[in-house]
Amino acid sequence: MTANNRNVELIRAPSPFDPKKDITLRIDRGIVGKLSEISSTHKLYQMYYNICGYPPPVNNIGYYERESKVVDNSCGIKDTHAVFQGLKRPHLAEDGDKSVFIYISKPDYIYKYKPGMVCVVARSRFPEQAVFAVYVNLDSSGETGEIFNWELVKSDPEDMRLPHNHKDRYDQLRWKK
Amino acid sequence: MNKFKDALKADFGVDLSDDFTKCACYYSKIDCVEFLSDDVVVIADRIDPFLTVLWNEDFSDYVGFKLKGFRAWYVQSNWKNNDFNLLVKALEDFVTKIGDEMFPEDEARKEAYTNVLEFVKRENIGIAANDMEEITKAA
Repeated sequence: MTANNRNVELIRAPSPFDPKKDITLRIDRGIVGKLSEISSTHKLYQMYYNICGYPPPVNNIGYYERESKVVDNSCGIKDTHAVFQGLKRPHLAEDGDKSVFIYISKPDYIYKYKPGMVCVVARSRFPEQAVFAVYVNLDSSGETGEIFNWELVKSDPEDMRLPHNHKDRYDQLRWKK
Repeated sequence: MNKFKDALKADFGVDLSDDFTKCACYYSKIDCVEFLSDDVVVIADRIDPFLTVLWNEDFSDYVGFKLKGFRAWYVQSNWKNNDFNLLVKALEDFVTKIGDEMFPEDEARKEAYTNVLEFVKRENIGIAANDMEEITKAA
């Protein structure tokens, strides 16, 4: 927990084995470091808002939304509606991607850069033709784990809440709400 | 941006650079090379187990790509770390040799590879030196 009461170390998320149970995740500092090094700010905004559930900690955040009557109930990764296991792609470690869990959500909003004197980030509708995917490796206990990547992925035209070609890209669907 | 910098430092102990750097980065935990031409929201469009292309929000512009399992491919290929541009070499390999065997009748897939290859050549995209070391170490 930081001085701003953001808890980015202990992120609550549904278990990949049972959506009614919660587990605790942390974010790999290596990827955050690399994204910060190249200043890939949009992906960092996604980390704070679409994973941790906090608006990005930017000066005067909320300025553009001050007149909005929308109640933003976003909870980040807790809003996951489907979890897959296993990525069908090459990996250096044998079966290295078989144990990866992919958390899928369809957030209402995303934060984007907006040039301005008061605030440089504004809330915007999440792209209609995309879903949000978070990649997780569980620790041996199964109760904790590490988030090591996240991205917007093209939606499947047959089910816009799931990734395109999900049957070809993942080994199995763990659960879906 | 100062508050955001401070937050990243406090939350993760990392330093946010002032400006976006356009480069092909290697992410070891994902074993993936990713190139992004701009700091924008992107949507990943999986072409096959090796290639993903990155579009802007309305799919009108092509803004980058990912080559997945890059080190895994490197280890089992004849690519050399002194190849002038490893990305070009890898993509050419897929388009020509492996390409013909892997997707002989899948023109869309072949076209995706060709487009990325042209993009890499046009933008003169290379992998950062530090990242090259990581890819080629003890391979």
